[in-house]
Amino acid sequence: MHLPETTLASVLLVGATSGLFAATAFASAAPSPLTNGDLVAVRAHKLHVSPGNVLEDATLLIRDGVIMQVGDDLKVPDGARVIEGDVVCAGFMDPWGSLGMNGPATVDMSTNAATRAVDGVDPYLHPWYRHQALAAGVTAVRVQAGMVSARGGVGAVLSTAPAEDLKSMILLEDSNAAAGLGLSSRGNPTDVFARISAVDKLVSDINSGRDYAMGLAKYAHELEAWNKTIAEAEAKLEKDFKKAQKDRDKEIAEAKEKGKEFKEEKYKEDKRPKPPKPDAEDAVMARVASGELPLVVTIHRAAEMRELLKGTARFKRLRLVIAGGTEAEAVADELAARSIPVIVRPIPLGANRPDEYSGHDLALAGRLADAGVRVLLGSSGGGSADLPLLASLAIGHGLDRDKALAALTTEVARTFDLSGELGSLRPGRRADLLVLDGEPLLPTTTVRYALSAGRVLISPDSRD
Amino acid sequence: MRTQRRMHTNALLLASLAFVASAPASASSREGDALAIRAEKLHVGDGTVIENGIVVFEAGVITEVGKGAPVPKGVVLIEHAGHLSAGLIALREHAGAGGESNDSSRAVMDEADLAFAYRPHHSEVQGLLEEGITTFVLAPRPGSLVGGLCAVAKTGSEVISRRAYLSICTGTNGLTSNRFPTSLQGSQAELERRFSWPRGVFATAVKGELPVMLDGGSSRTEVQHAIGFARRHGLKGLLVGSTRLGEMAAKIRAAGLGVAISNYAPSTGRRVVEGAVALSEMQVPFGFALGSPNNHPANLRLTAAACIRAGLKSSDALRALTSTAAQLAGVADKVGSVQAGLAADLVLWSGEPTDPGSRVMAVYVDGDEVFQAEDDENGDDQ
Amino acid sequence: MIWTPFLHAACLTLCAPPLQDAPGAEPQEPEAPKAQPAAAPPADLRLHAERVYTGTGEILKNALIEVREGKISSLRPGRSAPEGVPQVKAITAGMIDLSARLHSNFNSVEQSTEVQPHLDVAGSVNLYDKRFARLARTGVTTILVNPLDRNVIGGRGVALKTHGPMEVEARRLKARPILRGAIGSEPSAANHAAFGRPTDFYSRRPTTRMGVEWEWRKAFFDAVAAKRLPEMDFPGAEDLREALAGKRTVMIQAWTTQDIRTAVYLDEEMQREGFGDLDLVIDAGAEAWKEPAMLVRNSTIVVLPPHTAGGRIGSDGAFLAWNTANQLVEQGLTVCLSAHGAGPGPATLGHQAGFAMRGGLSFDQALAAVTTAPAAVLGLSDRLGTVAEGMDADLALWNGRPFAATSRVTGVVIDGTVVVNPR
Repeated sequence: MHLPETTLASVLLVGATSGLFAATAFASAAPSPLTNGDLVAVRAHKLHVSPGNVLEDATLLIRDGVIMQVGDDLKVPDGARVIEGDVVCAGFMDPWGSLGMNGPATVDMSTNAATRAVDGVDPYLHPWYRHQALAAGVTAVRVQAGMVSARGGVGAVLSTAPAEDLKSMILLEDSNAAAGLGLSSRGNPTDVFARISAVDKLVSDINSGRDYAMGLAKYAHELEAWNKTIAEAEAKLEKDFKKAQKDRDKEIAEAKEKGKEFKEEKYKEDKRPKPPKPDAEDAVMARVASGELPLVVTIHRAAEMRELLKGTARFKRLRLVIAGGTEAEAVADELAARSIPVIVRPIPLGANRPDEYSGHDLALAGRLADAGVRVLLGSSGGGSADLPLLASLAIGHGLDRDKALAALTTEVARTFDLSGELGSLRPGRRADLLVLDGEPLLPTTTVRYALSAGRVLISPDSRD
Repeated sequence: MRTQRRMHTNALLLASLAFVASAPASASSREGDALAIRAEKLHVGDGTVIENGIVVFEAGVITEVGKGAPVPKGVVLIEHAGHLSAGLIALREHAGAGGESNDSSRAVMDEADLAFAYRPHHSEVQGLLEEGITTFVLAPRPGSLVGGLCAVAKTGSEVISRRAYLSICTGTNGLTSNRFPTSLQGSQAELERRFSWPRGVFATAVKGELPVMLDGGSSRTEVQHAIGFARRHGLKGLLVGSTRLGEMAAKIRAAGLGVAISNYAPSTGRRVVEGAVALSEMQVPFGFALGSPNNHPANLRLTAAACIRAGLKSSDALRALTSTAAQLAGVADKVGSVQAGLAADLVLWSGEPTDPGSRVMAVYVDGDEVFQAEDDENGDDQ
Repeated sequence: MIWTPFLHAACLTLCAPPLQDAPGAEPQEPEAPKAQPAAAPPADLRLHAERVYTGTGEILKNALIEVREGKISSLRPGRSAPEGVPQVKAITAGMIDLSARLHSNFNSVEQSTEVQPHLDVAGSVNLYDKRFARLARTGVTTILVNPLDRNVIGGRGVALKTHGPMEVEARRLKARPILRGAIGSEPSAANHAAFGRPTDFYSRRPTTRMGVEWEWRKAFFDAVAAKRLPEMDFPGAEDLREALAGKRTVMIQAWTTQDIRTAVYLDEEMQREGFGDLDLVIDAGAEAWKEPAMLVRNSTIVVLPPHTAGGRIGSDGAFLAWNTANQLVEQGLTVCLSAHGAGPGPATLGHQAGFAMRGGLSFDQALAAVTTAPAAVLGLSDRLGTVAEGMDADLALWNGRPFAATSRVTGVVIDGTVVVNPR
């Protein structure tokens, strides 16, 4: 069986694959240096193409870090590096992490909507952290500057693979905009009225974003009209310049005769439309209002979530994502209806938790999923390496196993517009995948191989 | 506690007609009623697993265990499509004391009895049941040199051992900045004095009749002191409170001490879990500490799972959570295994007990069903 | 074990047998003595130096040092280096810092009572502290660890090698006992007057210099009185009486002239009262240069704090001049230098000796101030401070003339163990 190619890119890539065997034969005649561009074949007894879509005894071919073909009837081409294992699935993605970020940047309280997470990436992070995450199966992390700030900046999705340069670490430099509502500051809860007005402030920020976008659109429209008028006037002048000059001289003479002041004809040129005042924050919120960027709102209490949902209902194109959502069960129906995903943090919190987490329950993820809400699981910056373990805790408290796997793979990719590149093992996707010795999300299962863009970063001999 | 008792959804009743009439009202074996459960996998607690094992219990006590254990006529047999194990045991726990498990007014509170701090129906205790924890060692919070006598309590029920351990902090955890002692040398001098000329509980401890729960502190030096202290005075018992115990496994074994593994905190606990593997390799008996309510009860199993991820055998982890913990707490004759004669403290799991992805479907304490998972259309994810 | 790579390298390159205190080192079977002469067994370690500054005033040229069982077994000048034996420019005895300040933190002094002469700081020493390793790398092989000076009388100090077994009691040197205390603002710094209801013992303790001095005097008077009146006895009284009898060294931190004077007057008052004579060492005596006469009169030993760029040092803002060491030595006083441990700064004990030389001290005097003089304070002159047969094999290996600005310690040997490989 061949999987249907879903995107144009994959069609093109698979199209290229038909010439693969010839290419391989050619390569064997003139061997190229071994890079990640080489052919890798991954064979598994069970291959989770995506959660719930499992192929038995299947093969997956990787070239240039991209999945070329997946199927249970594929032959392994000559010269391919073969990796075999029991179970293969897509690499896990932490939609609420901090790995790869400079520590202080993540807790910066002075960030605004225009702060960019990619400016806070720390390429000199100790490799141990990356190794830990990869060994646990986490291949990508969505990061955020100002994770607990009222306005986190523009988030990014980073690869957990070690990289020589910053650019290759960044999978998506503008995954989302972010806001934090009602979060405790230094362990102290904020005032209840301040919390509600903070929600209103966010709604009004989205609104000014929309106004800004409309202002820009209006300006573009006016500019176009003005350019047109000017062009017409110029054409007219070009065409009959001598006549125009004559007419003008005549008018000047007439004016002199009558002892009047000569009035120069006004041209459109002086009324050039003015662009709106540039505003970086509004520019980001404009992208949010138009639905270009998802808006991740870290919010926990039901009252604030209700206010947020009410206030944002009129922004039809807005794509909200709730992070935390401790009391989200109270608004589950609306979240489901509006297809708003919730990034749940399935971490066991003790009695000393912050006020907004007071209703914390490990069963949240399962209950939301049962109510039809899209659920993602995130570490909230505590350590992406533990996310798979925490996800199993969510399973143990009621989350369906396939939904938990989706919460770490496909749902993350879908939420942050990366479905075409990450989250599943379909042709055309980046080869971020795991070869496991058992079913995913079991404590007894170890990651035997972790591949990032086709590069083998964890293997049985690399484990410490 | 959930007052509404329902029969387990997967339960199949095999009972005489006379019994059927009353059975659905209560799945309890309290008042002389017997009950039997057959599980796909029954974890005895010593490492053996009985496929389709049956456990029969009556009046709160297990009467029969085995694959073909006879189910007396008229006894309800519940079929459980999943695993069954003894209730989990948390070593060093503070739930049920409502924050009153340490009296900081004095450095040495040798006769303070934690049994008097225990409130079985405190809300903190109920959270333990939902995670399958049926027994725990109620210990003083750190902060004193000698915090008192630890009690072994049944979750939501009575204290089954009042003098399980004498709690001692030999390291910095016993110090405060404004009360004697403020220094390690001061604390060591005071403890040496108490144990070199022992009276009361100290004499009992030196005789080996009362185990100690030694909180050595966090650093290797402090743990070394704690082990040295135990050896010098011939003390038996448990080391707690340090993340570095694994590095001292050989010394701990030589001292004949056990260990309560500290809580694994996500993102920081690598040392703890690797320590557990080292202790296991060195055959040092160990269980798991919890420390709720400041730590979530789910942390007990999460810690065990993290240890498994680091290389601990799943069966060893379950032993540490049940039978070894019972031995360390001196209550192995009462709880910790699914064995005839022991209390019917049982947990029905949807899958492997040490997988955090397994759900707690039902919990029995002394044969009483005290917790049952909420029904939902998804059921368990078998 | 951080030393493992060095030890391992040492095993391979220095032909040394497995080192006893080297957990983690590969166990190696000793070579079977096939064609060895029946005489002395092969040395555990051999080193060759162009110059060995023995510390006795003698400089041995092209000397070969052999080490057996942690001791210097032979020291022969005028030898060429046998093949495979590491060669260095210079060797001195390992340096000794009497004020290394490696107490761990506030837990290293018992503050519930201001006078705790009986408590031993050993209980709070953390040998896993990386500063031990850092100190060892700078050529400091022996240190004195004292309680934190938050107390008036903090307790007993402990002398330790900077490398060795990882248990304090196993590493402790049988040094002359030290009673440590402080005069000045530090012992009263954390205290406060009881405004209203006293909440803890910090309101009972002294809040001024005067109060600190009074605690000292009261402690000695009480100790003497308790000898006759047993009901007055208190923990540590015996330690104080031993100090009065000169059986233990009293090391007092006193930065400023005022505090140094207080310490000396205390000693002299004890003598006048007929209680005894303290064997007094002033630690961190930055301003000893202001009134040296009283120190000469009392033959007090001074441990100087590290030099700073501006001269000011310590919580009392004392001023240490560059030529202080020289001034004191010229007056006939015994001076020891200290780097106050392995702080973040670059100035090691070797640098301090260099600074003191810049202030006028001769090389021999500077060497004595970091080796023989502190060894004598510890009562360990028969083991430490000089390079001679029978002494502990504690050596600092230099790549040039010791204490010169262009030289540094490139190798360290402690008890015959190569702690830093000179290569």
